[in-house]
Amino acid sequence: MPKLKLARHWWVIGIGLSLLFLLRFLPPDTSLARLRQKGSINVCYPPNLKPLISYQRVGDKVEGIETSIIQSLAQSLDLRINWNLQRDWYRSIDPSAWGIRKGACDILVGGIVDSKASKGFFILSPAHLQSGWAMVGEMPQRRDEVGFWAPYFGLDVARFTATSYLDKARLNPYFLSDPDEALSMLKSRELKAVLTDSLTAAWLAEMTGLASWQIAELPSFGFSLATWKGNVTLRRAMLKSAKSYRPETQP
Amino acid sequence: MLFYLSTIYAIWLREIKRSFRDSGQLTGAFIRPMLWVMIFGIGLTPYFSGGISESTFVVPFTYSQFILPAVAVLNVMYAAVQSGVSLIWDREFGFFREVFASPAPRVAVFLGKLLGGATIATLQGMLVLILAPAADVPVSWRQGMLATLALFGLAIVFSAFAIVIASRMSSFQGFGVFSNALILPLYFLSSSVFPLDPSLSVEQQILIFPPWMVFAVRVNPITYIVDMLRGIMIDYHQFAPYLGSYVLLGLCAVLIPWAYREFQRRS
Repeated sequence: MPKLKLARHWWVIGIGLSLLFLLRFLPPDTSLARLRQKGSINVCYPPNLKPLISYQRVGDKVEGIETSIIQSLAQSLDLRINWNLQRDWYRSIDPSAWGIRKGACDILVGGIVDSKASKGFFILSPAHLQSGWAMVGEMPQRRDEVGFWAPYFGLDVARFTATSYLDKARLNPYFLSDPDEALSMLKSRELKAVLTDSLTAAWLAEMTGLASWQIAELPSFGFSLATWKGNVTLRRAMLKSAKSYRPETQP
Repeated sequence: MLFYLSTIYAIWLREIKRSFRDSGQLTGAFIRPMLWVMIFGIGLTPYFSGGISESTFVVPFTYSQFILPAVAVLNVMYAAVQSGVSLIWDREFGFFREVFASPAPRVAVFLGKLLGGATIATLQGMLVLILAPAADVPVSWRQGMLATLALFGLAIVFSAFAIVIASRMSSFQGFGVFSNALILPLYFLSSSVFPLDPSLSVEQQILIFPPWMVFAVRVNPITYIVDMLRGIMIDYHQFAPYLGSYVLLGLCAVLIPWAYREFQRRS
């Protein structure tokens, strides 16, 4: 008995599969093409998030650990960087009050935590910096006031865990408004210690000469670059650039 | 036992060959993901991507990512229900008369048909995964395996359901109309093309969507299977993560015996 061939229309399967594979390479949006046409990339950042990123009035420049990832990305895309300072970013706890507008920012950088909460608003690059929680200063005693600085975008759950940690240790949190306040209060001994992310803690320790120590029981987290949802081609470029990125400062 | 297994294999292979030889079904299997993911998904993505203050629904995915697992479910549903047509065909053209006159056990013939339909449906569902990179959904090997398993479970459920319907129908046209009238409402009311915001309670959802729609989405079992697949592929659940697998197992437990009963009585 002659064997029946499995399929009579191999050409349909061939064309169908080829089309599906080819469609994967079609750009799903114009986010990257628009930047290439413009020749520059608008990068939004908060005013003071030392040591991650901050605006320096003297010399009118942007400094910080997170600037190098942006420079690497811009270089790989052959684009100029337009630093776009967002003065109200982290000014309040409500992100919708920060005045960050979609049209003004192609990419956002500045303490954006790689978390589900951040993904509610953005699409993220892989975390380029890893951090965790650390204390800087002297070992606080029960009922001491401990500074707390962690305004980062998308840190919601981890921030809650960290403040619960202070509660459990019977320490009173003092919510700081920026890292310079943390620095001056540590220097003047108004605060015995500050609980913050490990990168900021290392910076504060370096600036004050005080000791810092990791809080191992609190979760670690990573910082990412963010772009708006739908900017898939730009995100792909961010992923490609992140693979070749070598940070100048390793925490 | 060997005879039993070889009967299942023979019927299964027949189903596979028939599907691979049906150019219309093959074309549909390739066209559906292209239309839904590449045109519908990408076309609507900008409308669902707000800024910080402009976002109505704060959800951790883009529209293309959201719709991709649902399109895989749609492809499975179409292919599985299509397998019911072959049952009408076999009955009308006397194939079953010949098979049932042979010593082939009925349960083996039934299982061959069920597994054949489910295999084709699973393969068609997996075609959608080829477009995962286009929708910006990175699928690891583990996720791919789990998604295939979930699609196979759904394919079994719908193949069994197709057998139930086809056993009760005598015309191809009637079956075609009925299957469309069944698949599309189930698909659209499975939270496949719009999310019921997970941060809202049922009472809050009713303020945004009409209550009848919230009710229809919640009683539709496909909702929980789509949700399970989203959990696997984009790590997002609207409902408790275990619900999808429970619903799938429950549907298998009801539909497979029902399909066998109908198959025995009417074929």
